[in-house]
Amino acid sequence: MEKQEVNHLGFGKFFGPTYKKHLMRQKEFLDRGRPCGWYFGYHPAEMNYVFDVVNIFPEQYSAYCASRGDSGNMIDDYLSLGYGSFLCDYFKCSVGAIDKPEVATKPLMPKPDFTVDHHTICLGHRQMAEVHARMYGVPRFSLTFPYLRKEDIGSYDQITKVTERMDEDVLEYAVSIIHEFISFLEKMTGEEMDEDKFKSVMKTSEETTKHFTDVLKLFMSKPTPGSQRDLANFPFIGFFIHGSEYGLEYVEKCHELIKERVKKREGIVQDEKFRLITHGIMPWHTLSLYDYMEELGATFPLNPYANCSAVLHDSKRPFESMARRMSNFCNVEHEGMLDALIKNAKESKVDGAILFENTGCRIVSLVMRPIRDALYEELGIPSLIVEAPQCDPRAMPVERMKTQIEAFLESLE
Amino acid sequence: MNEVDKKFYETYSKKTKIKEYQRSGKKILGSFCSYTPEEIIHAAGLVPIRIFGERTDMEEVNTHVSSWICYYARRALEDGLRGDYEFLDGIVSVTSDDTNMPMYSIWKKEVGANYAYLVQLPFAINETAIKFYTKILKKFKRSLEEFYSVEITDQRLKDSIKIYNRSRALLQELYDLRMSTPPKISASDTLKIMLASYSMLKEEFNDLLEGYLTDLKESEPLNDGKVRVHVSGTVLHDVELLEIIEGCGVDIVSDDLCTGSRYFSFNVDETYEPIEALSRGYLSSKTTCMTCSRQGVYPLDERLSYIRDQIKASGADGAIILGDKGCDLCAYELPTMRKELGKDIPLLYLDVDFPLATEQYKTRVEAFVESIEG
Repeated sequence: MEKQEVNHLGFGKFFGPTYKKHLMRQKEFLDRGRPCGWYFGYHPAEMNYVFDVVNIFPEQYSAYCASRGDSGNMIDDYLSLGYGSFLCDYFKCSVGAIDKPEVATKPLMPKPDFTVDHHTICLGHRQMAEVHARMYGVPRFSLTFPYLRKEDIGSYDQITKVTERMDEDVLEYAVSIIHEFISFLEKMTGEEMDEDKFKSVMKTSEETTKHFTDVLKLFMSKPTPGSQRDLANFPFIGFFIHGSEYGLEYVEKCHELIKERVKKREGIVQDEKFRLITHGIMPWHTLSLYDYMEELGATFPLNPYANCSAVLHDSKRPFESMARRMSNFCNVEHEGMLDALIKNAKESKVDGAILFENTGCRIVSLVMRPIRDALYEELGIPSLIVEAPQCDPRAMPVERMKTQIEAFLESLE
Repeated sequence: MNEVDKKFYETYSKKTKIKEYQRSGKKILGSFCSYTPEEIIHAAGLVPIRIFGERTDMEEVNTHVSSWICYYARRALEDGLRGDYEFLDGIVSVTSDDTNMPMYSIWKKEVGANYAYLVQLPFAINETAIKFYTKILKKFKRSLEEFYSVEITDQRLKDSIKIYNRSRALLQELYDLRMSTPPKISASDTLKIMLASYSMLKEEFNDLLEGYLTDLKESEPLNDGKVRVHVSGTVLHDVELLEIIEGCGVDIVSDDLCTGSRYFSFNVDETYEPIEALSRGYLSSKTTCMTCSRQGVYPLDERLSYIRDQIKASGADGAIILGDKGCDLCAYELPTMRKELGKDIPLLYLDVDFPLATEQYKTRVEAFVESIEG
């Protein structure tokens, strides 16, 4: 197949300075002796900015290790501790890094004063947080939102997480847990929550989410205005740093770029041959795979994994907004989630799907075949499922995968 | 055929009772988790049973789920896809792990069910969680009432709770007899009885078990002198595996299996309003679902404490962990569990998958027994 040049939007150039600001905040707060918490994707991130907590993300660290090509050593060490192969790659890297820091990617994650286990995406996060807490002998706070059934929310938008309805009991319970979390942070910091700061952070978060969700909606434009490399840093913003000024700055800039491109009706490739859905945690070690597909004229207007990290906040209802993160793609019964996906697939006018099954991640992997079936049954479009652990390149034969992908794309032609 | 096979095991292996219920027009609901609040289903006049997969040759299931997920889910779905559960009118599941939740959706679509309900766990154990779970259980009750046009009165619920509490007490008696020195019953026969408890109405099961226990108490114990072992794991319904272990000179005298002691090692306090009583009972610590936990403690410590209690009570000389590579609940805990339990007692880990690697298990268990016997 003929290759084309990929014209990235260039979100990446904004990310370096953003991440530097994040690291500087961490360093400054650590120097000031602020408490350090370890978190997983989709916690109420804003509260760390209200309480000036050092927020560390083992998943993001692991993705970073994989992107640097270092994850193998850490995974090997993890396996030597007696853990099994079919667990989350993020967990593998983080445990390896804690156990054998000398082989781990630098900078290392600072030691936590507490860990937060929470169920907003998967129950695995809960056990990972316990293992981390145990390894350091620190307390673990349990922040658990219920799994949602279709009848709890009705139809919903998988980008904004705006739902047709929300079961009052479920919402009340989730909000009560956020209040418990605030009490926990008050205990850890020895400070009462500053109401003014809370309002200000929530306002920042609201602004961030407006830009964030609009960028993802604009991604669905035809031709697809951005690449998967452009999108690759979005989950970091969405899952971890909502409420930060630097997160807001980043998405504002990205928003401006994408608006401009959509206005000009420009796509990432001259000849957009295939518009595809991609789902699954990105294989961070081999993002070049997306480049390869895009060079072949395949674009991805819809990435439910990246969309998973989005939510539209309403600063007038801050607790409810934070709780609404539970209506993400991974925490909703298949029936409701697939309806939302089909709706977006129609809007995006996709031709097919390339789905990355992340070995060890049950929540992501167990939805791949239902997505494949729903897309075929509802829209008559085919899917390719490939096995792609997100941090272990050794378990993902890239060349073989490229052959599979190319054959799939040829079949679409 | 021994008495246990005839009285109990056939209700599971040949579905004798289920066929009887079908003939009499009773509706049967299947569940995927030991923490399904069966009492509510029972109070609706329905028959709650547990879904287990017996097949080990996977033909259909890999089209729908990843090949590395737990064998319980794969085997159950395989049997469902191949029509073995066509007699079910519906399914009830609990959000107890990352496989159970999608499995519910996949079963609903691919196998089908007239009635399907997913009970949402609060994942926490405290008063707020109990209050929330009470509301969840009330919704479940309403759903059954509406779908099956039946009124589940408080009295019916109380009666069902009483029956289930009786069942839990009888199973505890059975386990006590297995725990005695020497044991009065083998673990494989005990599992057959457990499987019967999942395959018939509890009041009938209670009558059966009550009569059996009377005889068992009077019976001669099993051969003495075997190594006493505790077995740890999650869902186990393969009698053959326990028979292999027992065949190596082992008496399995206690367990913490979901399909073993964890199924009945709690009581529902009948002094509370019935739904709240169920909420409190199912969220009691230590024996509750592994994904519900209390603040301020490491959940595994609670599980370890429960296992240590069992080991102490049974006087086990060693412990065997039956692992499932595909079970994340087990896998996250495994190294810590091995390390912690290994401090107290000789430990053997067996990686279980199907078809069973019989000879390999025998070699390993025999070596383990020899190491204990010195």
